[in-house]
Formats: sequence, structure tokens, C-alpha cells
Amino acid sequence: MTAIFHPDQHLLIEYAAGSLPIAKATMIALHLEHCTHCRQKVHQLEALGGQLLHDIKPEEQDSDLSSAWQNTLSMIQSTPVASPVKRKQSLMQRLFPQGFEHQSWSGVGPVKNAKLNNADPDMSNLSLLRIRAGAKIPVHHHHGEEWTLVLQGGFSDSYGNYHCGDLVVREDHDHHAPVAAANEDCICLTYVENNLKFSGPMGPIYSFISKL
Amino acid sequence: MNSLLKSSSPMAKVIPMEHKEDQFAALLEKVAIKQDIKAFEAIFNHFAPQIKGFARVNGISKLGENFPDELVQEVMTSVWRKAHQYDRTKAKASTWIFTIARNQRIDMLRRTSRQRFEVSSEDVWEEPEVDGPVVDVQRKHTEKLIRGHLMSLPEEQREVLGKVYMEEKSHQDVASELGIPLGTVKSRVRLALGKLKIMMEPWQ
Repeated sequence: MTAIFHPDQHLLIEYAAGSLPIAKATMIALHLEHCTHCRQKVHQLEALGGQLLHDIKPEEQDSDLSSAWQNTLSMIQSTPVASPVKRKQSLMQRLFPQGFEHQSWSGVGPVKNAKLNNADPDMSNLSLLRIRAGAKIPVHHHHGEEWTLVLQGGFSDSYGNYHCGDLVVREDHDHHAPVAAANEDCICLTYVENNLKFSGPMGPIYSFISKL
Repeated sequence: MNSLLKSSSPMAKVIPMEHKEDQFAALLEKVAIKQDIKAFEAIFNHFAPQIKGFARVNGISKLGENFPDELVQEVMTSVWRKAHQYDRTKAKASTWIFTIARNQRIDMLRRTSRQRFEVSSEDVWEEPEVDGPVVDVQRKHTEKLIRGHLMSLPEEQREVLGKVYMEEKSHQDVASELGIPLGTVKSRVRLALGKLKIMMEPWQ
């Protein structure tokens, strides 16, 4: 499966450098599971990080490492060696071990929400969104960024058609009204910086519901 | 930050660096196969000061004076524990150690704000994997370019890369710190990556 909508290269750099907050990094990592292309870019960017680390010129104060060496020696004696077989589980399986059906979906009508099952506060901006096949989300805009990663099915808005693995980053004040593809429910992971604002006569009601 | 990067001509670096890189990959393999303490010590002697220098600029030292040493200990303990997961066909030794240091730093900064967290950096920032032999050839080519050309980048580009990677600042933070527009930071990064032949974007 190949994604068509990719993160901006500067996001890949911040991911590789480790400065991206973990919630956003999770979105990038899930995109990487679908995208060989971005994965290769991240490898190159990590190689750059390795070279920069290699090239650091330590200062005088960094050269006294005798106690760090002694501590490391005692730490390695009391720490078991890691398993030679790395985990084969993908991040997707780790985040949703039971699949999407077992998430506690809330909301009425064609659009449902679910919190992630883990209660990690660093992940609180992430939630799952489920749009019934063919259904439309009311026009809304954002104060702050909204990221959407398609995990199942697909959706369209005035900017394009999105499929599994596609990552869409919307900036402040973008207006859009996504419609799910007709053949199956669309499930997305979303990162929302702030609350969404819905437009139109029903806007205040949707805004109220989305905060529940 | 500029002073953090050794300046020397690119030509002068190429041969000894390549030799050293093989040496660290071989040392990691010795640690993996024989739990070789002497090999581990040689890795420590080279990388521990680098990691401490990294900790000095990336926010770890702000946690307290012992934290740079603690980062060194955490990273080197992970290197020992995971040495047998290192695969020289997937990444250079320095790349692999960088990813461990990056992940440990993230968790160390997160740990200060709470007792525990359910998603660790390792879940989200995986160690380098490779996608086949063609990619491997391409990777080696890129690594060679990075090694050869990094030091010959214009100072302003190298400074920005240093801040993004070693100080682990967002592009926005770098822009604020240097008092230049975000667009300028991004274009310096883009120019630098272009010279290093990283991130050619077929979809743009």
C-alpha cells in the first residue's frame, strides 16, 4: 500500500531529529508504516543525525566520564541483554491490539469518535474518527492545526481524495467538509491542536457535541 | 553550536572516518557476540563524550548537572543490551547510536513530568530498518555524501542543521532564536539537504 499524501519534509526532519512531540510523531510513524518512500528519507535523515553526533567536538567539561563509565559497568551487570528478536508488532498493532471494533466509540449519527485506549497524557490530542460510508462531516475550521491520517477506507474534500496511509495536515483557518468514500466506513486518526469550530446553522451544536 | 562541529577539509576526513566507521561496527559486533568489555570500552571512549556534548546542548543539562552523565549511562547501557540487534547492513554505528541517544533523550525529558508513560519513544521512533539491497546501496551512497560534504556546507546552513538535530529544536524555535523568518530556516535546511543529496522529493 502506498500513500499519496506525505508529511512535509520539515516534519520528517523534526521526526528524525526527535524534536516532534510524541503525538505528532505517532502520526508520522503510522504514515511510515505505509510509505516506503518517507521511510527511506527518515533513514537518510537519521544518518545525518549520526554524522552530526559523530562530529560533535566535546568540551573540556564533557571529558570527565570516569564515574559515568563505572556506573555504566554496574548497570550492564544488573541489566539483562535485550531479546535478539525485535518486536514484530507494528505500531498500529500496539496502539489498536483489538482492532477498531473494540474501541469505545461515542457520538450519534454518521460520525463517531473514540479516545485511544491508553491514557498517556502526551497522546491526549489524538483520537479516532469514524465516518460512516458515504457520510459527510459538517463544514468546520480549526484554530490551530488538524492532522488526519487515514487508517481504513478513504475520504475526500475540496483539496483531494485520501486513502489508507495518507496524512493530511490542515493549518489554522482552513475550511473543509470531508466526505467518506461510499464503499466502507472511513477510520482516521486525528491530531487536533484545539477544538474544531463548525460553521452553518447547526455549527454551535456540533461544536458542543465535539467537546463531549 | 558552531564550535560544536569540528571543522576540517572534507578530503582530510573521508578516509580516516570510513576506517573508523568500520571499526565501530566491528566493535559492536564483538560486544554482541562475546560481550566483549574491551570493545565496549572503546565504543564508550569515543561516543560517551559525543553523547555528553549532545546532552549539553539539547535540553538535558537543564534538568540538572547530573543528567548529561545519566544520558551517557542510559545510552551506553542500551548499546550494550541491544548490540546484537545492530546490523551493519542497516545503519552505520553512529546512526544507530544516534537513534538510541535521540530516543533516550525524549524519554528522559518526558520522565521529568510524570512517573510513567504508556507509549515510549521506542514505540514511535523505531531503529533503522532497511527495505532491500537497492536501498542499501543508495544508503551507503548517501552516507558517503553526508560524510564528505557536511563540513563544507556554508556556516549558516551547518548552524541551522546543528540546532535542528543536536539541540533538537523545532524549525520555529530555531527561527525565534536566530531572529530570522521561519521560511529562511526552512530554506537553509532545504539547501543543505540538497547538497547532501537527501530528500529529493519526487512528488513535489
